[in-house]
Amino acid sequence: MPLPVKELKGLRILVAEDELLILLAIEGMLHDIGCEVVGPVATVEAALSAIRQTDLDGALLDMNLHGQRITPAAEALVARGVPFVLCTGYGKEPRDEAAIRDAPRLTKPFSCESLRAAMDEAFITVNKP
Amino acid sequence: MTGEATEGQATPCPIVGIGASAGGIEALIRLFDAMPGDSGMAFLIVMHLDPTRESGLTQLLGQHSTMTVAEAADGLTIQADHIYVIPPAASLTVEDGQLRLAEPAERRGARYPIDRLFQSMATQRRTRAICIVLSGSGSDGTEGLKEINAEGGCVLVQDPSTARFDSMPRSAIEAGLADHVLAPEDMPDVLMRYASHAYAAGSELVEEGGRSGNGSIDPVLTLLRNRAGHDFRLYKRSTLMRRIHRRMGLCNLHNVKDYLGFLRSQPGEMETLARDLMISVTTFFRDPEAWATLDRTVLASLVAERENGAALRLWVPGCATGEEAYTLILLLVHRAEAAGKRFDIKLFATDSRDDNLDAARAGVYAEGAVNGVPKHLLEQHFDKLDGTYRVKEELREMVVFASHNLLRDPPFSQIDLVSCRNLLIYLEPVAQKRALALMHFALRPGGHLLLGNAENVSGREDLFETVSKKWRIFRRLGRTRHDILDFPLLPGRLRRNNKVLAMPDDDRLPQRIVDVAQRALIERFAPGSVLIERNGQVVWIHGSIGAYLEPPPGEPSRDILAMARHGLRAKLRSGVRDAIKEKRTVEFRVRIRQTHGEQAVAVTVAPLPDPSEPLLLVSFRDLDTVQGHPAPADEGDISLAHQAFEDELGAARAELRDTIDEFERANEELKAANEEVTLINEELQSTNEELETSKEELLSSNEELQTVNSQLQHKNQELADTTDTLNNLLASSEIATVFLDRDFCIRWFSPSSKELLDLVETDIGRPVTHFAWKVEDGALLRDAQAVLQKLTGIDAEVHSTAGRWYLRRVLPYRTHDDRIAGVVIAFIDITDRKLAQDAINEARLYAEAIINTVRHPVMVLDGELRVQSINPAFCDAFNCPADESRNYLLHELDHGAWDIPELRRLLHEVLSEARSFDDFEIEHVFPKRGRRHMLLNARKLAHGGNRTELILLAIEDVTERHDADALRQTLINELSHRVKNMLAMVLSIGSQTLRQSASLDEFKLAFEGRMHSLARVHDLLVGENWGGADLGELVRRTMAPHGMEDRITAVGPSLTMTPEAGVAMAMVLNELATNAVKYGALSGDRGHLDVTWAVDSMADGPWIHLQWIESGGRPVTKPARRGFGSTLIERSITHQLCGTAALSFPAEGLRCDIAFPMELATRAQNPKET
Repeated sequence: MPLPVKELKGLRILVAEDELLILLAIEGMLHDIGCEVVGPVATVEAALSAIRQTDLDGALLDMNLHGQRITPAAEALVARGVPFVLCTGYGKEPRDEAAIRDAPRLTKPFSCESLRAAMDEAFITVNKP
Repeated sequence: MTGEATEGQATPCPIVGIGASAGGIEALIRLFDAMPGDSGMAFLIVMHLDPTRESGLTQLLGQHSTMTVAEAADGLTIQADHIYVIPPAASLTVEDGQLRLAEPAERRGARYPIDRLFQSMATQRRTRAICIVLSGSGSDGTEGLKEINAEGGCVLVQDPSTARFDSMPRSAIEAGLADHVLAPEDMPDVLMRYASHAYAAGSELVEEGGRSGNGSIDPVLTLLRNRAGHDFRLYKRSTLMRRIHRRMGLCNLHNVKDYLGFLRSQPGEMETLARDLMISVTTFFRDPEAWATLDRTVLASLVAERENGAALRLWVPGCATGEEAYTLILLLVHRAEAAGKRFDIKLFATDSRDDNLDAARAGVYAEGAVNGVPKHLLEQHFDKLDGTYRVKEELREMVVFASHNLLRDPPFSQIDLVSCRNLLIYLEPVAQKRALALMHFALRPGGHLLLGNAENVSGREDLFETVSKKWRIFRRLGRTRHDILDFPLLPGRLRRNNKVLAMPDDDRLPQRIVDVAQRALIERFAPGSVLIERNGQVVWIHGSIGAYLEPPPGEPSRDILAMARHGLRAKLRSGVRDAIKEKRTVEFRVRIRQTHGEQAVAVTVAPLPDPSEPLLLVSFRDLDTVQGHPAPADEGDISLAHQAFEDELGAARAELRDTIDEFERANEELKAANEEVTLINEELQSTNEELETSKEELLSSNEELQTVNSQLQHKNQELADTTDTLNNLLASSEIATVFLDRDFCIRWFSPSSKELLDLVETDIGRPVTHFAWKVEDGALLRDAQAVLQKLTGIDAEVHSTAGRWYLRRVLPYRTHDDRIAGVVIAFIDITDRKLAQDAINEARLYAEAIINTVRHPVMVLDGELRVQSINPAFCDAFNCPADESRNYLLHELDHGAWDIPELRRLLHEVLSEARSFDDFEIEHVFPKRGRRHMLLNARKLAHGGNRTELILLAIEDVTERHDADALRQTLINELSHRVKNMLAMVLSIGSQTLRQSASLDEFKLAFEGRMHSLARVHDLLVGENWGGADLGELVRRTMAPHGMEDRITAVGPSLTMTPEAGVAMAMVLNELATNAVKYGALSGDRGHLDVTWAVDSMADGPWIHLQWIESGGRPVTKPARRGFGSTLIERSITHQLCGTAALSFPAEGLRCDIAFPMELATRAQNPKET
């Protein structure tokens, strides 16, 4: 069971994003927020590997990495109890798997503020308003 | 008392013999319609049948009785509940419980088969015989019934008013033989009751011990005489026996003693028996010829003789219910009217039964009873009431009905005519004589007597002379004879309880005292007298007259003159003449020569006062001797007298000679005439016999003809009924029907055939070819020929000129004897059917065309979900041949490809709830076609009646649309994703570029360059339908805006990169190109750029190596600070393409080595998975 999280600052966040330009923007935002970027990874294998090998506080996952759905990674995170936010241009779809379906989503493009709000919502476990 | 068992009892069932003739079939039908089939009786039917024709009677009766009806055969044992019918030309009798058939013994025309049967039944069945006489003409049966009656059998006779021909029943009734006169339908009831009666079991009454013994009927008669005042002692014994026996039978009593007791205890029975003993049978104009003769002879002269207003007195003793009396008065009144005279008529009609008299006074008769009355008399003298006739009052007033017993009560007197028909026959001869004497007394001199056909004045011929021998009309003779009257000697009604005078055994009857006295006085004191008629004939002689008259020699004579003794004749003749002429008494004296001398005699000739019969009384009185013997001295006188005698004698002799001569001549003539008459008589006799024979034959033929006629009438009626039925059938069917004979001439046509052929009744017999049909049917005659040859029907559909359609049917015309007599052509109007059929065909073609044309697969299933048909679209869509699918169960179709439980459930719902379903979506994996999405519509095809239920199932394969929808959704999602990605990238490029730019111009240049680069790669991807971007093309498009193609070399294999990899590579190439144009080899005039790429095999698969090598430009130095451009280049490759990128800055020009795994960058992508 992960420790209670009071603030975003210092959290180790896995970023899975295959599009470099977007990754750059996310990295900039996380940097501003004060989080430590784990990865980043551009493939599902890399994401799974990072999840297995790294201690994570949270994750920002693109829905699709080089044409592969992120689902295995999301399931692995669920299995480990690591919260994550899906950053995607896709809306919800009927075919979404269970791990994906109920995960918080952040619709691209997003601003630093909306990222922060999403992360607050997803990662902060105590002192929630 | 009870009779011995007879042979007839070998058959336990009652046998009923039925005789019928003309009109008998109808009566038989009425009888058997009412007769139960299980009565236990057997019926033998004898009719007068034409010997040359087959009889349809057996079959006819079979239709009206549940009993077995059979034609009689010789030796057949009679069984209960059977009807046996005589065959033609046979004589049917019974013998030992069996039928006997024989050739008729008599010649045709004189046969009495009914009599034969009845007689045999009388002999064989005796008291058990039951006989019925039904309608028929003639009198066959009556003779047989007499024997039946004599044997004590039961006789039922059809009520003549219900019989078509009533003479046979009437004959039986008039003979007094009918125990019951009934309508045929009422007979079964009586039969059943009688048959169950003990009397019918067959016993006969015997007077045990003779007339004085135990079984004598005398006590019965005595009882009747003492109690009821009816004296039957003078009735015929046999009649009395039979009647009493009958009553006993009907009362179920077996001996006279019992019956006596019954008589005493049952007051009603006395009257009933008396009524039975007194036969009261009479009819109007019974024996019409007798009446006609009476009318012609007696009545006509009576009316002619009497003056207007004179009194006429008539007497009808034993008048029964008055028919005879009314008949007489009718004739008399009619005669009188014809002569224009009115008389004071008094007709005394007497009878000893008061009930009869009451009925007679009322004068009301049934319609059948007045049948014998001539029509004009009926109309004139009867009032027609409801079904009955009543004699008019004026006639009834002339008739005085009075209670009177002919043998007991004093007779009437001065009667002109006595009609006493069929009364004497019931009396013993002694009583007959007495009755005749009474009637003689009652009649005035010259009055007439009418007797019944079987009666005569036998024993009293001296009292009556015959007027008509055949019709029994007699005239009273002689004067009134009191001496033969003895009517008061029978005990009268008033004296019935007084001491009964002894009944003398012989004919000698005592005389009255006065009579005796008178007679004695007359004999003693009256002179000898002779009563003569005007012609001198002696009618009566009183006293001794031998001294005056003596019989002359030769033939005996009654002539007083011939008998006169010598000396008397001449004076007597003149005396008689004078007495007649002068109507006064003439007296004279004569001397009569006698044996012992002469005697003077005083003779008186006195005419008697009776005007009707002028008689003369001649009395003789001897004068005393003194007077008789004159003095002998008187000699002169004697000789004178002698001379006178001689003269007279001479004259008399001469007269006698002449008379004798004349007499002999006349005698000769008479002899000759007599011979002639005898001859003629013999001829007439033989002619008469021949005529009689012919008449009988004619009657018999007539009988047979009536029977045949009756059968024919029945057949006719049946035919008429059948014709009606057929006519109605033909009219109702409205089928034009034409019958043709073998030559195709018209035999018959139905009324409705006039619509197709202009026919009138007179066209029957004309060839059908002469008529123009109103139908287009060229093959008609050919078909008719074919039918005649092959004897099978031919049908064809033909069209009439009026625009209607007909089913024309030609059939052979078969007669009842299975002969082909032509053809029947029938035209059945099928226009409506035809139109409907056409409409159906059209609709079916229409529907089939639709089904076959639609692109949706359609199948029709029956109630068991068996495939009935599938359309071509179905065959195509599911690769399922039509002929291999028929009758397959749906779930077995195409090797179970259609085994879809949900569909089956829905179809069953459609069947059971008669509803439809639309757009039912199913997804099913077909072995041949994979997963298919289908929309199903189903309808129950409505059918009337018990026809198979059908379901129409339409299938719409929406797999393509379904896939397209999914693809579109994916594309929209993808588009949204890409747009948002793109926006995110643009944002990122903007913010990164802004962070690197020193000025807005610098930002603008770098930002626009990067945007254009994005736009270019985007164009390229769109051009390739987002399928990928060719690396070479990427390079060329990146360099194209800068021109300088001659200074750029781009060499490498064609490699299609994924859109993502393409975009990354485009961004990388854009950074490198921008740098080259701005600072590198392409910024100057001479520099050169080489871009080469290749695919190399590496340990983990093929890699793409791309080398960007600038040369000849301004000298290159490694930049002091790492810019966004180099970050973009390096991280794009490393991060996004998982490869390596190395920038190096040798002096001759910038160099960039890029390598990345080919698999990731060129992976064939499923758009859905993107």
